[in-house]
Amino acid sequence: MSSISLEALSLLVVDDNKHMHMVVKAILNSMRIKNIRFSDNAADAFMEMRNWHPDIVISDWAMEPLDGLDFVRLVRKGDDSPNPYIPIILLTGHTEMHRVLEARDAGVNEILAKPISIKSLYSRLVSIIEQPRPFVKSKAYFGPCRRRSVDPNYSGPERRADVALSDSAA
Amino acid sequence: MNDKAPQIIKVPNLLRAKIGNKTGPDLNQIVKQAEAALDGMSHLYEGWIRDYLDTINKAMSEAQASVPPDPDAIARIRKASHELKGQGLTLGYPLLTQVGHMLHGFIDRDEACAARNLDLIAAHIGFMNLVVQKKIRGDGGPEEEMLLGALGQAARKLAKN
Repeated sequence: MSSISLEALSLLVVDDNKHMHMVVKAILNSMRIKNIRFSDNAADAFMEMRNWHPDIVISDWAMEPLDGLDFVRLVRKGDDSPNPYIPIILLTGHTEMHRVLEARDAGVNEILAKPISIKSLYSRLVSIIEQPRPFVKSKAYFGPCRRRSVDPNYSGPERRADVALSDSAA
Repeated sequence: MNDKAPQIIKVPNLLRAKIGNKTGPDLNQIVKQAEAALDGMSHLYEGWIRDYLDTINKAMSEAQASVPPDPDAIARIRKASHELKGQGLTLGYPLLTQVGHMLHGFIDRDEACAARNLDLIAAHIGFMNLVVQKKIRGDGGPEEEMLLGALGQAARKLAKN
C-alpha cells in the first residue's frame, strides 16, 4: 500500500550527537526527505529556524547546555521565537511516564523513544500532517492541545467550555 | 467569555497543502530501504561503540580516583550510558541498550547513591565491555540473562535502602 509522500518536507534535526545525525538522516532519506539540516545545540537550531524556516523540528532531549525541553520552551514561548507553532518531535531515551508528561507540558507535538523505530518516526510525521491539533494558549501553557482524542462516551463536566477560538496569524 | 479562559488557536495546515496528494513509497519499502542504509553504515558502528565505551571507561577511572567520586565523571558515565541505551539496538548490540538503560536509570534515580556504589557502576561497565569484546550481537544467552538480572536486582536493592 502506498503512503503519502513526505519528500517536500524540510526538517531540522537538533542533536549534539553526530552519530545520531547520520542515523536520522539515513532513515529520513529512506522516506525521500532530502531537505534536512542539522544543529548541534539549541542556540544554533534557533538561528537555523530564523534563517531557513524548516517545516518540522526533530530534537533530542539530552543536550547541553540547553536541553531539548529548554529548546522547546524557547520556541513555544520565547519573545523572539521564529515560529512558535512549528511541529516538534522530541527524541528521547527517557520513557518514564513523568518524563513523557514533562515533555508534553513543554509543548512538544510528538515524542519518539530511542532506539528509533523507522515505522514510529514515519507515523509521527504523518500524524503531524494528517491529524494536526489546535494550539492552546493559557496562563500556564502554550502548545499543541494535549488532548489527543475526544471520547464520545465521556459524560463528565466540560472543563474547557469557556474558551476563546481564534485563527493563528501563521 | 472569561478573560482567563484558555484560547484555542486553529493553526492552518500548511504542511498538508505543501505535500499535496502525491503518493510515496509504501511503509514496508521505507523500512527495507532504511534498514539497508543503516546496514550500509555498519562498518562505522564498531568505532562509535568504542568511542562510547572509551568515554565511560575513562570517566569510571576518574570517578574511582577521588573520594568522593568526581560528580562530573559520574555525569559523563550517565550521559554515555544514555547514548548507548538509545543507540545500542541500532548499532547491532541490543544488550548494550538494555544495560545502558539499567545503568542510566541507576545513576539518574539518585546520583549520590550511585556515587557511593561505584562497584555496581563498575559491574555494569564490565558487562558492557564484555558484550563488545565477545561481540554479543543478539540478546545473549542464559549467562548474560543471569548477569542482567543480578545487576537489576542489586540496583533495586540499593534503591530501597
